[in-house]
Amino acid sequence: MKISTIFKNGIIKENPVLVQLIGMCSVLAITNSVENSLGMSAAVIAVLTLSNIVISLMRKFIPSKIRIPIFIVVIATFVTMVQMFMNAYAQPLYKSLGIFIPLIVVNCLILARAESFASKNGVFLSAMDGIAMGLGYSIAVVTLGTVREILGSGSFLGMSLFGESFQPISLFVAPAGAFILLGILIGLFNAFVKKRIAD
Amino acid sequence: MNETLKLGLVLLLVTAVAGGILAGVNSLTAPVITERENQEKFASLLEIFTEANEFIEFEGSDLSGIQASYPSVISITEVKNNGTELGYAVTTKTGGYGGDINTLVGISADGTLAGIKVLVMSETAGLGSRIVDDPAFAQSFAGKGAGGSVTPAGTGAGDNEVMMLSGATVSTNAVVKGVNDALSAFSNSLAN
Repeated sequence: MKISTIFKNGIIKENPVLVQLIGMCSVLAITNSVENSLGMSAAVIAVLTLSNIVISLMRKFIPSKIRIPIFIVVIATFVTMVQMFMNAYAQPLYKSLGIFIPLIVVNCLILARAESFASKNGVFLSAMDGIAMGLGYSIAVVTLGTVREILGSGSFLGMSLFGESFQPISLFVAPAGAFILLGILIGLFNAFVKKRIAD
Repeated sequence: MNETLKLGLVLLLVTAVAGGILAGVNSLTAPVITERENQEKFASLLEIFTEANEFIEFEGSDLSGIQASYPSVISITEVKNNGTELGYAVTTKTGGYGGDINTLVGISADGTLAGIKVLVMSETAGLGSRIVDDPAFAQSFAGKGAGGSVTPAGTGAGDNEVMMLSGATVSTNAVVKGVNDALSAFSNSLAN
């Protein structure tokens, strides 16, 4: 399998958020600001890549009957490590991502890649797949976060864009706004990007 | 039977290794985290009581006795400057819209609010999060509370009135409840 194919799959053809619609819980919850989206993206890329590498290394030794519990232990270990490091060295981010860091463990995106890719492919390809899928997740999440923060808070990365007179549309920082914008984003993605690339 | 045993052992091995790695990471990060939490608390205390240089933490039965009447109180610190009592810092934990809100409530020796600071919260960004993001909210508490409680109303201009954040009623009320619990705990149990 070519690396370019892996990246094309991860970012466009099988984009985890916009095409496969997996890991929606965190997508809807943390995209209320660009900063949260970037933080969550970094955490997901780190956990996904590391767990793909380790699971790929262990794939010949893992008995297939207990593969799921072992995947979960590996993923949970990395998530806990990310959480501890974030709490120690990136406290504001840790505070705003809150409960959603431990929830990375049950993000089906990561388990899905372990099951369908890392347990069947070599270490290098699995690492690439982790990065590619993570990037696909990040692009979707950061796009959504940017639109939500601009419309819902009138700012970008915490910097006010429109001055005092701008009345932000609070709906877009609430979950309902996330659903509406996610639907529009998926529609646009299908209409323009996915079709063009598939040809 | 043999296979079950083997599967169990493999799983045991994997979890043991994972546990070992996490213990290592924890011993690395735990001191940094504790250190930072303490610094944050002292920094907040000093923001409220700028002249404070002595902090006495309530522990054991002193604390649990007050908690029996005011379950929202999680910690109490007596604040002094060279032996002169400045007041008390009472940390309360109340239920907000998106989870618990921890508020540090600074009460001067005369029973008015020296200042408040929301330490922990997970309220909706842009709405409830203004309890932290909007400095005017915390400022509206300073000097109030002489009557033993505060109520949220408008911009909080009146006596014992504090700012009501529109669109964030639940968050405002949670902070106000924490502050009022701290004020009652002070007037009933702490004031001399």
